[in-house]
Amino acid sequence: MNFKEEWRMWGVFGAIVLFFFLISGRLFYWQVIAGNDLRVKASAQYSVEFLLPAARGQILASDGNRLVTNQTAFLAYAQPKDIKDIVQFSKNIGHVLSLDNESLVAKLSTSGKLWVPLAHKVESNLVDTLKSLHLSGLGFEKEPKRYYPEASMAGQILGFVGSDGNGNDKGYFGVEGYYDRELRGQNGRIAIERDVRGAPILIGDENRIEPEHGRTLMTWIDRSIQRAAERRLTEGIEKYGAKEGSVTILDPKTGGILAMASFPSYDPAHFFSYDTILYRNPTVAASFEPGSTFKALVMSSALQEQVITPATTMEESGPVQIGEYAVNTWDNKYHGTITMTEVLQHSSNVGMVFVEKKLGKEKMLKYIHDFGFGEPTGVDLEEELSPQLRKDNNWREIDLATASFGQGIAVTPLQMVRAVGALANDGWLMEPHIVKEIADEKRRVVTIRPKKIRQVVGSATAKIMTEMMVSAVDNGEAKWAKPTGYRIAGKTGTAQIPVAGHYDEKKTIASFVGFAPADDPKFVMLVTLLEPSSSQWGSETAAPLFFTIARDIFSYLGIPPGM
Amino acid sequence: MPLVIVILLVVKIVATNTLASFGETVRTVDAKISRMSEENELLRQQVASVSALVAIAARAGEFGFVEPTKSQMMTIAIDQFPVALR
Repeated sequence: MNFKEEWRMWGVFGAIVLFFFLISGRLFYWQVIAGNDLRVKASAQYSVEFLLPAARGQILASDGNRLVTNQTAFLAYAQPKDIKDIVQFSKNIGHVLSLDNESLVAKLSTSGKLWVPLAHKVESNLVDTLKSLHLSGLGFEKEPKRYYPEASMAGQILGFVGSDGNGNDKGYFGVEGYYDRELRGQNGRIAIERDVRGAPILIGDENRIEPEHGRTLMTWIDRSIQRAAERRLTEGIEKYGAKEGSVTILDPKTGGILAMASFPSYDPAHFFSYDTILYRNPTVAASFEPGSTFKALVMSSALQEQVITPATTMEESGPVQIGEYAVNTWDNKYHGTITMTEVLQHSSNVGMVFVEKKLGKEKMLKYIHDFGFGEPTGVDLEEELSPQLRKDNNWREIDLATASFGQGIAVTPLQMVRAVGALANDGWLMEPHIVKEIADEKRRVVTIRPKKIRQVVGSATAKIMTEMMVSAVDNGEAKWAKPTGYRIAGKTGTAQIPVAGHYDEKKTIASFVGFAPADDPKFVMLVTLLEPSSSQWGSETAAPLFFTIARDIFSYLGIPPGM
Repeated sequence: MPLVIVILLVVKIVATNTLASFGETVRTVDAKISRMSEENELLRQQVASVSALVAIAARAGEFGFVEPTKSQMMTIAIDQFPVALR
């Protein structure tokens, strides 16, 4: 082999080696460096992935009817590239979806945008109207939406569904907020191989994660009682010229909340149209001074401690002096020697100071705590708060005296009605609840059992107190409004409203709390009216409203008179 | 043995072909399921609407029912029973 041939041989060998490395390098690039990207691109050509959205759980009334369910709605979107005339398109769409024409044109004209969302949760009837316009560049995607068959009923109990920071549905306030995790569920996913026409290949790979639909909540809410409470409250607000009001009705034996109405309220389907201040349910998130309704609790504490009996007498001869302060009766009338039953009938502040003195500071504070004041009730509503009580060592003599007739102490309506509910339940304080049962899609049911917190007073004391409250209704200021023939235990309240460090003489919160039938209570109810203008007294406003609702409930539950 | 292999091959080809064409059927069934689910949801919504108290009250009103006023309600206390209890 001469030199030339040897050179050629080495040249060919070198070229082969070079090509070998080039090909190896290229293969390394395709398989290792760009491998993942190519796999994704290939997968996108032959497989398709869908989101399997989880349906949000329903909320049911105690009779199984739906308070909140879902309806199909749509996300309306535009693809600007496919739109022939943006101005005309915007005009047509804006008219149907109530969107501002100019901002829509500006949004669609922004260069580089392939996909523009137009409106979320558009209802089917509007989608049908839009589809009938046959506009190119307009598309729809399914999107679930909450539906409220009973319209705005129980809005402040239910809460509403809005969006979180990522645009996903999220429950806010009320039951929707408290049980958001249970209601939300978990989205599923499916990835399947498809053929050239886009149809799934039956023998291809399938990766499927089933969605876990949200759980259904069965509540204690009785929609007939809720409707009666809402209607009567609205009528009462108008009749008595009050600014605000609330009605809270509990089953005293279970703590189940049968109805909870407040005015003003909002419609959860259109929550965005209302002042955000209305989102909080005032029954659990606003406080008030209970006034004379609190006397029933102080009186029962003293009965339990056996420092008084219903027949114990005291001298109501004039105002009682506490340091520099003089405590009067509400009407400045004094009845001489009166029994404890009469103290409650006349709603005597002077008499209650006598009871408080008998009870003593330590016991008085113990019972205030035991009746559940100063701590949240534990109700399953997101926005619950509890007004702070003074620290035990900060109570002065005058504070204890005024607390004995419900002034200078702040409570929520739910705390108050629950505490009185204990008197209707052999002295047992219950944890109030909206939700009774939680069921998943496989019909596995978790029951939330009624929870006893503590026995505040004995059964015998509760019975004596019930009789005293029945007497207060039968012989008190509100006896004219009471339904004939029924035994109702109750107490009126008229609390002055603290304004800038002093009590306003004219502005009051009128209230009435009670339960019926007294011998086998089916409900305990609190009615509050803020600043009623027809009369400032609870006996002339809140009490007749209480009795009107009670009459509705008797009729609905088929409770005959004589009970 | 070769005959068995040939038969199995033919069976596999036929089965694969048949199953592959089932994709279209699966798509149709999926669409039907989706349509039925939508219809179910719509019906559930309609049932909820007509059984709502607001709807029932409106319907009752159409049929001429009125809510009793306080004076139309008769309550009889024990001491007001029109007949003797014993």
